[in-house]
Amino acid sequence: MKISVNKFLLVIILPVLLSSGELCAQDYIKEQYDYSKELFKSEQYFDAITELKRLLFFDKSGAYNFEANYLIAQSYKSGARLNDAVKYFTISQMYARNDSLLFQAKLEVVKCNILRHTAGQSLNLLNQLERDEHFSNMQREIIYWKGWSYMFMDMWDEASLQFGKISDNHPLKELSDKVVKDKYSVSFAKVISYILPGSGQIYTGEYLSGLMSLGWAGLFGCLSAESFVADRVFDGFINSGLFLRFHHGNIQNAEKFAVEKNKRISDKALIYVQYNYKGPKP
Amino acid sequence: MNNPGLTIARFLPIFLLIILFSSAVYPYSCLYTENDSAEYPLASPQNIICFADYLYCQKDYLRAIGEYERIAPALLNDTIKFKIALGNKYIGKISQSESLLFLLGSSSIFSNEATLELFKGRFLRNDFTGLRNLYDKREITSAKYNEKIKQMYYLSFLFDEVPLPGHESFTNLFPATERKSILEFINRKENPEYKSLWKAVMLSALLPGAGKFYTEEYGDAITIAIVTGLSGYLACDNFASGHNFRAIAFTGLGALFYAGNIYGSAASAQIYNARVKFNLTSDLKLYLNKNNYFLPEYENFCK
Repeated sequence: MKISVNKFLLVIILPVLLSSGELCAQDYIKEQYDYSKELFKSEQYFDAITELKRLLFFDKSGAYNFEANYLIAQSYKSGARLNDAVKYFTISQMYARNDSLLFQAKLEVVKCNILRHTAGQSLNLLNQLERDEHFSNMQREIIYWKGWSYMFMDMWDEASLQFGKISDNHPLKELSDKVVKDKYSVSFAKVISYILPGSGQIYTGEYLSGLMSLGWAGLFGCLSAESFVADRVFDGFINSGLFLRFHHGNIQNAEKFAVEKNKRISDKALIYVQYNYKGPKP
Repeated sequence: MNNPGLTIARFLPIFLLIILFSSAVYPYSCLYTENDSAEYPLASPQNIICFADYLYCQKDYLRAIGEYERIAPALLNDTIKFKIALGNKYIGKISQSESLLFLLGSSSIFSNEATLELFKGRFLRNDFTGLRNLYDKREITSAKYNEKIKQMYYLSFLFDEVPLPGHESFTNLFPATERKSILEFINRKENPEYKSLWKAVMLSALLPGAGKFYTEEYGDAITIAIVTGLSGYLACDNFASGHNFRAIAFTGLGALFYAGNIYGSAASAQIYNARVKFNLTSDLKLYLNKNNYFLPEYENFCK
């Protein structure tokens, strides 16, 4: 009977003893993770990164590898350190336990690329995700972020197409359509300026500049014609040179105004999205 | 009773219980240090140092310094202090770095390295006057790296307007294979191919475009000569033809080009001289960079 009690004790105690070291370590690692998470939640990102790095350094089991790297990346992202954020989101992908977590981390890399204005790169990543059959049930989200990438690439017509695939009434589709409608045609501005100096500027709403262009080009056009008619060839050439200079300047000016105005329209739309759009943002 | 298996079976649970009890009393010993008495094992000095070393090698200097500074001053050894100084240097906290390097330079196992780092820091951030002051005052010296420091001291003269010390003592500091290159730089510093500003002005006043030709701006020279000449010719021609208004207009234009030509030549000479100086500095930096500034490599604490 005594032997059986001892055997019983052996059976109970030995596993407990053997696992106690691991359990004890795990307690502290969990405590460290919780503490880091609290720092992150309270927006103390610098300290959160330090504690998460400490966690990764001491957690030999690797139990929190995904969460810690992901939170470090999020902290860097919150501090606008987007390159570091991309680095840690990429590391976290290696420790993703399932497709959902992997997709989440990959999508964060896409968002960082959108934010750091390397939307071309984010589009490449989204195309890769689109082709990957592991994420075939995530197509809607991929299309949504493609739309965002196009918005940041100033390709609003493409953005409208992408958001249109989600819903015809998608608010971002409506916004993209509005931007496309509001934008000026740079080629049109140049062509009409070529035909009638100043008209390109007037088209972009720069009336004074348009009238001045028209005035200068008109004046030197008239003077050169008058000189040639009066057989003052040298004056004619000088005045023609000045006319061509003003005419060329007028075309460049019209193009510049159209590009500037389009940029302003795009920026205004992005600012509107930043403050008024309620859906997911990068 | 004499059965050995029975005796082991009787004492083994007691033995195991003692071990288990001891692990409950000293729960932290199960973590990364054996004799840790800290309340929270990750906050023990050994673990902090370990973690800070890791951060330092990851080049996360700001956090590494923060971790090192959490350790009690009594535990801060020379290695840690040197790493803090280097870390501060890398993140641009120069004054903190220098004050620590001064301390380490005067008495520590890293006194040679700290002294060298002090001079190196000043040299790399182009504080040549500061470097020479430090060297001349002899407040801090390094027996091991004295020659390297002397090299930096001499090289510093090539970067600014201060006259060079003797050639021989300068070139002899460098390896025989490099002496020719060093001598070339010395010659470029002492006999720069500067263009005289006044010569450029006088030439352009005598013949428009000649000043620019002198400063090797050949395209500008030809343009100026043509434009000024043409304006002058048109002015004369119009005066001769009785077109006084046009003649005055072309005279004004010609005078404007003429004045611009003189001013442009003076500016061009200055730009030329600045370019000569800039080329010397950039060539020298490239050369020194290629030779790692003639500085030795020493342990960087990260293997």
